[in-house]
Amino acid sequence: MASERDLELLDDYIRERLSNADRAAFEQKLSGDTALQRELKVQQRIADGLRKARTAQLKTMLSNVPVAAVPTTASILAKVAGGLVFTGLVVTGVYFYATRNESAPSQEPVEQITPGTIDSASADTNNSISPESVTPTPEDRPDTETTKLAEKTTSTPATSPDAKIKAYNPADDQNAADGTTNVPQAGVTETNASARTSPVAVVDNTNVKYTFHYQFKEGKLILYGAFEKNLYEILEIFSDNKRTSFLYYKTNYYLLDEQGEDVKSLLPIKDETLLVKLREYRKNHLEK
Amino acid sequence: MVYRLNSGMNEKEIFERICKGDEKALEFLYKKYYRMMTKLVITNSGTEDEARDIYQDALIVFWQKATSGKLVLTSKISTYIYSICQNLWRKELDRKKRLSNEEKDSPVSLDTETAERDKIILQCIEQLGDTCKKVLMYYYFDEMSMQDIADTLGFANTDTAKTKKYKCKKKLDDLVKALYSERDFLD
Repeated sequence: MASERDLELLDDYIRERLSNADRAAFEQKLSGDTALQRELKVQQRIADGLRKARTAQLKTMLSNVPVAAVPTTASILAKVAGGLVFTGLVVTGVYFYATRNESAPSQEPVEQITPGTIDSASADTNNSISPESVTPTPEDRPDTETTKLAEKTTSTPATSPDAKIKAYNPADDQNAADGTTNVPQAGVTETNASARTSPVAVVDNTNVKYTFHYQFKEGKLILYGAFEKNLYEILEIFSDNKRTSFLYYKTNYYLLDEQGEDVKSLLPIKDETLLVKLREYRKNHLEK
Repeated sequence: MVYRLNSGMNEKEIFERICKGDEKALEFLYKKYYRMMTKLVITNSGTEDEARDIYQDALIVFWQKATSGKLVLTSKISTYIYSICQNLWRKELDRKKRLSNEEKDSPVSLDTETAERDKIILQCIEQLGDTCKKVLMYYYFDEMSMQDIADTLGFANTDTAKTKKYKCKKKLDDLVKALYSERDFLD
């Protein structure tokens, strides 16, 4: 068995910390001592193992350092393409904006939907271009600052935050005739009884800034975006002389807040309780 | 300990910190030259994974030389690391070339006993406590001085570091020898 002194020498020998003279002397001793040779092999393996473990530890540490991806040829091409697309979008936007100013705001009513008049046949059509389908998917978007800026100006249901709306029971309006008090809960838009006249719904698909928005203005409901004819429905629910409007478009329901004249984003309703009731309400109307 | 690492840190400061075993300085350096170094491999028919691997290996070589006090820097850090990357990538390309030239049906010899011995050692290292692992790794790989080990691990002085190193090494030796003895590897 190797002595303490031998182990110290072995340690220094393995770490190449011996002077030439000490090294030569130790090797001399080593050549005639088989036990020390065995010990040297074990100690070398242990030292190698510790070095490997440390290397692996450092590599793991470095792999966890966040670094920017190296631009490959493909990513450079994608960025160039993205830049071109962005430039195209800007040019198109400027063109539409300029054209719009020249031709004055002639927002022609495309269609007026009155409560209860819902085109059920067209409502189920799916093979048409929706605002969502013209929005590039995340995979298509080149990872550039410019496109991120472009994204921010585009609001689609897919990217909008969930609308937090408390449940409101549309069926309750049927109880109104019985004199049952039915006050929509906070968060649900209400208008006063004088608003029983349904607003005219018009579509403005030329606005560059608003791509999936709405606005109540001068008795009109303006829908901004590429809404297809006959594919949207306005559901109006009257309760206690108050009206709450919802838009149904491409399987989603959107609450239409009639308060104020500002342009608002269309955010799909996520509240499952409210959705169930809206679906039921719409189905009942369609069956009538 | 408060680390002040920013883009304004100069070469001298980075190098001094690395020599003392400051891993945050290594991370900073890794980030700083990542694109430059990996580009070298990528533009020479390497993949990004290979580039990352080569750069990490080069940085570890630099780290080991710096912490062991064997490196006297006469050029910029980036120049030094770049040359290590070049050498490592050249070696890797040679290795790949050799592999592709070798006959595919040549027998592959696997030294299972050596692999088993190495595996036992790694298992035993894993059984040590964190401080023990660090002390031994700093001593055998980083080749840090006892003073730097004491400073890095917060020991009172070098004597404490030496005692800790002795005890940890003894423990590791005992673990390894017990398992080697079971498998008749102590011959």
